[in-house]
Amino acid sequence: MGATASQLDTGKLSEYEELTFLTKQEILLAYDRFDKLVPKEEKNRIDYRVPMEDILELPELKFNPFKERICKVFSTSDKKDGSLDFDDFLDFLSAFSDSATLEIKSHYAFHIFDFDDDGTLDRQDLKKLINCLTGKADKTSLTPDEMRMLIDNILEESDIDQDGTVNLSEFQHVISRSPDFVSSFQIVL
Amino acid sequence: MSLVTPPVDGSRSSSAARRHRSVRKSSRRIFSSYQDHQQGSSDDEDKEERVDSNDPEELFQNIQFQKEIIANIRSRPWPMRRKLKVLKQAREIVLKYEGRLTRTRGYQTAGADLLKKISRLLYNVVVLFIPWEVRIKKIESHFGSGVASYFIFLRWLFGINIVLTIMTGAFVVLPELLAGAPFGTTRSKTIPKEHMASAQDLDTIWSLGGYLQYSVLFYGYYGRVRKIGSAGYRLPLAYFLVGMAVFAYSFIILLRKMARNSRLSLASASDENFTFCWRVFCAWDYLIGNPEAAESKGAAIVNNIREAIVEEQQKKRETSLAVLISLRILANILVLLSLAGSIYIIYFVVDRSQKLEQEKPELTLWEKNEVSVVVSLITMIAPSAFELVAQLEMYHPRTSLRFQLARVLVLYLGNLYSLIIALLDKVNIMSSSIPWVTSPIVCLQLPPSLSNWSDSSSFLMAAFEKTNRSQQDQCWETYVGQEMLKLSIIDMIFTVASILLIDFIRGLVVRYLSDCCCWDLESKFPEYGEFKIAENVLHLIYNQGMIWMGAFFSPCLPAFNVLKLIGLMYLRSWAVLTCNVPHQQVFRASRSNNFYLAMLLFMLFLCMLPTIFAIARYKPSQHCGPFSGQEKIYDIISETVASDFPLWFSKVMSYVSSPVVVLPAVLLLFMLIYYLQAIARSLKFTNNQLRLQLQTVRFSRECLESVSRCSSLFFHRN
Repeated sequence: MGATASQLDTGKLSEYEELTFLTKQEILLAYDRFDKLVPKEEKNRIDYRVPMEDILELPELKFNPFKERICKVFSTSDKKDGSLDFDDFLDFLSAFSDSATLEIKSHYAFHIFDFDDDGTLDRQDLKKLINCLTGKADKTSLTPDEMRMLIDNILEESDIDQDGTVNLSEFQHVISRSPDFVSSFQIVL
Repeated sequence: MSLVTPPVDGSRSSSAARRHRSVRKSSRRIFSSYQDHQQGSSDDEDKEERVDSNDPEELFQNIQFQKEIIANIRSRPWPMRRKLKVLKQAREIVLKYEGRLTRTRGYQTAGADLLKKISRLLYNVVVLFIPWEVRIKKIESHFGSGVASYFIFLRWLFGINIVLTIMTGAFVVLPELLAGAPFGTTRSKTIPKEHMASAQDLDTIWSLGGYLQYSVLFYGYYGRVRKIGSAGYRLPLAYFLVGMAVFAYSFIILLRKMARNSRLSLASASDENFTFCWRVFCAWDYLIGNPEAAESKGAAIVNNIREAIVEEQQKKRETSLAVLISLRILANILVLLSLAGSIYIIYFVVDRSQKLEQEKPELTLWEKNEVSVVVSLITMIAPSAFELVAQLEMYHPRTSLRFQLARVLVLYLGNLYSLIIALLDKVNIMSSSIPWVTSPIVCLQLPPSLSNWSDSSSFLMAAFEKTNRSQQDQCWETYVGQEMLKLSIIDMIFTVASILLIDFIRGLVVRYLSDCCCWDLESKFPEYGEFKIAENVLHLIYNQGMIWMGAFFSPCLPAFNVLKLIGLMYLRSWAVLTCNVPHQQVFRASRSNNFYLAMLLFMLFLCMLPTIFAIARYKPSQHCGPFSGQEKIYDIISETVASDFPLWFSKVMSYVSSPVVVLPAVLLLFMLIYYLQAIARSLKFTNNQLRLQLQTVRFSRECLESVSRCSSLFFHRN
């Protein structure tokens, strides 16, 4: 199910077109970029998984604070090491393309923010999320007081069933009301 | 015994699982294929037998259902492997059972398949033609999606203008060029003798006179012959209909885009406030691919969060209330004065140019272009002046941005309207003046060198001829078109000048002179400029308003605008990448994506009014244009209906346009609006009820849980 030796054949291409939100040109471009990450000796291997460190060097992901989480969420490897094969790479680009639906984007955004992979965003997840956004430097990170106040306010606004965590439906409810989520949750190669 | 449902498997979200379960449930009715664990082939055999006994209609429904799954497969948040498996299964079923369909259904499905394939192909081709993708992507990665939204808006306006150009070009300009009377044959198409000598001067061309005035550029060139060419193309009718179609198309495309946007965001009518959630969940701009922009965005997010926390705590300001209020009143008075001043200046300048034209036969370059230059100067300087004044007010940056936008919008509208009112005043005079009254006045103003004439009567006749001729050449529609085109040209020149002078020179100064200056120019005043998104978008809207105002009187105006927008795109994208830095703080003008579109709609409506007014009120020029000789411009419709349509049609049209039909239709529309509003209100109410219900369910569940725990403890002890 990976890419064949040096070219993507048209059957596979039309299949990928059906299964993702990408156009033919975007899939071919993705194939070129992915191919550059594959070392020469592995080029003939189908299903080669590019390790996470190489994916993180892509200029589109390099300065993204959630780059590791993105790799982990889209990776289907059994070792859970964040490596992506070409199918995963296309899934990733499809979810971040501009024609993807709001549901897909909010679904993946939820899983990216769910640092401990337990299906809900609890206080720990939110704290890690905010630290990712604000960076590690002292000048930019928030004080513990501000952090607590921020998380309290977030839970107050979004936690409808008051269980102390944000689940997927609550998250999607909040996100669907935001005017610029769809346009900012995009990555274009 | 637990009353809490077990948590759903972590790797699948609960809603996807719900969707999954519902899909399974409904497919089990007919044919199930989405078990996670593989079913044995015996299962398949059983289901095959079940399907065999179904009638063709149910078979068709099943196949349609599978096709729907195939069509929606990309919206499922599953990994590629699973999507592929589901797709293969669905395709197998379709292939296996499609052969059994009846012939009509077979054709139907074949047709739908072909349509899908064609639409996919078309979409792939159309995407190739979207211009400036690479350029916009570069800007997105450096500046984020806020600044890029200006360029995307510009590209969208470019698309609209291309369609308008095609409409006017194909239906009005080309037929006149190909089949209409050529240049020089009729009176309205020849340059009068006294202007012939100066027709090729740069001066004349600059003020759009001479050859440009008597060309397809303006209304006056188009002939009034009802049918032209061998095919009998009705040019005057086409001219009128295309003029109306320009507005109709703009309305439709604008409203469609607004409807699509509001469907995406769902926020327009609700007053739900998720400020903290949005500042954390929707804060990061994933398009950023550049370390400076990323740092800047990180800092902006932190500031945003801190500011929201502060607002929540409602800290008081340091300055005293009385001083603040008096400063704000002062600022508002200044702004109002400047707005009134600009409106008066424009009216005065147009009036003066009108008088000058009547008094002096030859005008200097400045006097000819005074109006456009003054308008463009005001539109360039006033927004910066408003910004300076706004510093007195000391509002929160978001509030001051809103005030700034409102003031600039009022300024632009005021300018356009005072210009058009002054022009229409002149039009009034031109279209209702009587030739022989003014000729003695003109006589008296002739220079004394003509006193050598022997025959004074022939002199009077010549003078009479001349004024007659000049009255005939006065074409108020062409005049309006000329003014609009001049305004557009000079606005473009001023925009280019302001970008080069203000942004570029500022960038150069900060970069190269900061070494020799005593303070660091790069971090304190003047700094590198920031791209002012809101004001630039407003300028685009103002520009488009000008085009809409003048499109009826100058059919080539949309074509000129296309060129202008192309130039603007290249210039601004170069300028923003070279001279601007990413914003420290980006404030949205409003929560909805439709804010700028709503302003564009407002501008469209207001710019349509003067054209409609001129069409309905003024008599078209006697000697030029496609409607010359008629009482009113819209008479062309009734004339066509009366002469070329069957008799009953004109009777029906006269009934339909009478108040008997129009008034009830308007009443019906009002009732519809009221009804839709009532529905919206009740839906909001239902929404609130459901939310409360969710909370009470959770609460009651907790109560039951604790009760059951207590009771189990009690029984256990016993």
